[in-house]
Amino acid sequence: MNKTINVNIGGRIFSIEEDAFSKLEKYLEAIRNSFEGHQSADEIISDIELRVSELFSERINDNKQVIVFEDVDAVIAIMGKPEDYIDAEDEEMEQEFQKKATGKKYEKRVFRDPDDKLLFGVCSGLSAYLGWDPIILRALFVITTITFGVGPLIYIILALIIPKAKTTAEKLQMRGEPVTVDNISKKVNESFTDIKDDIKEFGKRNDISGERVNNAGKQIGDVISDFFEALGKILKVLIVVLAKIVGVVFFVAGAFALMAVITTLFGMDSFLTATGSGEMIEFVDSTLSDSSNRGLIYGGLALTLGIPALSLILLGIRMLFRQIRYSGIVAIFLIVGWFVGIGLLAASGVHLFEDRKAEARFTETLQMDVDQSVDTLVLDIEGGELSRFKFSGDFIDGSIFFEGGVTIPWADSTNVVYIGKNSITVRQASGNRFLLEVEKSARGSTQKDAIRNARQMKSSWSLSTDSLRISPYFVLERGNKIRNQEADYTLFVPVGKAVHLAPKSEDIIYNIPNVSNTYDWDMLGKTWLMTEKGLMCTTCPDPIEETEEEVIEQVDLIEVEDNQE
Amino acid sequence: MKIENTKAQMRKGVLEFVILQQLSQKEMYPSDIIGELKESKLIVVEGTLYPLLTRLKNAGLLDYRWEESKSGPPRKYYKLTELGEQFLSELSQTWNELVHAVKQTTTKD
Repeated sequence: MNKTINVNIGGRIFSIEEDAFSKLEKYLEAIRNSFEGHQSADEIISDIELRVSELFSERINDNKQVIVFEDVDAVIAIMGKPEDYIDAEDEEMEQEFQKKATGKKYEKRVFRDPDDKLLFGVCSGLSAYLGWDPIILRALFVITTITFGVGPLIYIILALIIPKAKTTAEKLQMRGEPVTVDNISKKVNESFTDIKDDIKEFGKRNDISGERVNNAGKQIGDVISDFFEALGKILKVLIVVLAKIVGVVFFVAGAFALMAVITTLFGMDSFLTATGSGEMIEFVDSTLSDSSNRGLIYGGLALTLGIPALSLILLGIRMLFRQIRYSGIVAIFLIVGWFVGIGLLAASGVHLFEDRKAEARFTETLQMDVDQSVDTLVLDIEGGELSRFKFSGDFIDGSIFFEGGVTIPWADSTNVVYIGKNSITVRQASGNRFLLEVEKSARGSTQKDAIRNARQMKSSWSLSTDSLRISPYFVLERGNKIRNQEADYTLFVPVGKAVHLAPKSEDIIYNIPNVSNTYDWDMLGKTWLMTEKGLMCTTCPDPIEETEEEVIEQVDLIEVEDNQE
Repeated sequence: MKIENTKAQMRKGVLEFVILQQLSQKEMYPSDIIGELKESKLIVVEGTLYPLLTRLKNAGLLDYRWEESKSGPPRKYYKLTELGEQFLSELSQTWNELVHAVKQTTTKD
């Protein structure tokens, strides 16, 4: 005895056995599932139910009132299985169905990637799963191989346990893309070229199998070619890794260079201005005609130095991430920018030249009254140790760039923008008095400007009885222009009087002519008498000894000659 | 390549054409359509037809009306719309071309 229930199918009441009903229910449920999400799902299902109802009606008569299991089976056979309902022309439905069919496999899964493999596709497969660039894992593999030696072991294990993605569906799952008709056809199109290659390879393999009559040597050849193929692949990886390393180097170097350019040109400026010293700006400005010219130079330097650095960074990034591509606009921008920089520098160069095209040179006689009783004048430097050693700055062409915190005895140190080096030489005086002259020179946009610039030099000297002290430096105060200023002192010594060069005067003496052609350096600490012929050393060791030696040699030569006779 | 797949593809292609052809002659309800299609082996199971009819109806090629039935539930009677007629005439033309092409190529041998 079977339990029967009454159900309403397509608007008609049927008596149906319980097991038959459960079968029918499952069947309709399966159909409903396969149409889930379809816009006309309800309509289609009600059509189907109507038809089922009709088919059942045909199966009952006065003798048979109840629908049994066999009836349901027969109806299902007529209607078809749930998958038969799929209308292939209906893409929406097809996709839905594909999703259903793959079920849980829709989730991402790890596969070995046969399309992007170097050895077995472990790295690329894992990367696809993780969504990384395969190069990261490959680099890790190479690094672990070099450092710990465990790389190959891990690789082999992974190659064995991870299945290869054979079907398109599996390749999609590997990437986590939904396995839909659309994606599959996309994937198939993408790998179309690959398939062509595969076909070629297949042809090759067939050739090989055809020639397998004496295949012993052939197989060895295959092994060797496989070996070289693998070697080539490893080399390729190494090259790629190397390219990445170079990319990192480029990026870091470019970044440092760019930082250096920015901080030097703008950072230092703003830093100095912010801290209130601003000496760098003032120094730079004092070499230029006005501050707008500074903009030209800074802009020019920023572009001509900054753009190569920036290019290096961009190149580094490009080498690191293959997928990054720059449009031509970037390159054009960089090149144009660089030439603009060159243009700015050229423009500022013109300015610099314009500011310096005229030169002025003039001599001033300084009021120096040396008492007639003084026979020997001592030449020394003013400020002594103080002015000599307070500087830590560099000497460049005899000039010292100003550095903060310098004390100059005779000048307001905080007001100094440039310090130049003085020089002094000694000449014969025409009269019978000591004389001190200074020749000043400078450049400027006009002769007048040059003379004004030369007059801006501030220097100092002092006389105390028999001692002349000259400062080793001249200074330019703020607001003045730096225009190749030079100050050359000349001490005129009358015949019969002498000058003693104190050791510290080595900072200023320059090219002092004398009868013995002694170098400046060797003249220090000695007293030099002015004769009609020039300066003569009076405190030097007697040079007569030398003459005696020469005489002896000559005698020897004569003796030799005698012997020969 | 499976021969079954190719056969199925060929059938699928003409299925729409045949259904439209049937409906152009007279109003029909699904069971009538199925009967004829089964005879010509274009359809193996009836389930295939329902989604197809719904799609053609949604595309505006078919229209239907309800009709009460003595033996069972009410039936949907389908007929061609004007758009369906146009569609069918174009399909007919293509079909004739295809038949012609197939004939030509097969009789050459």
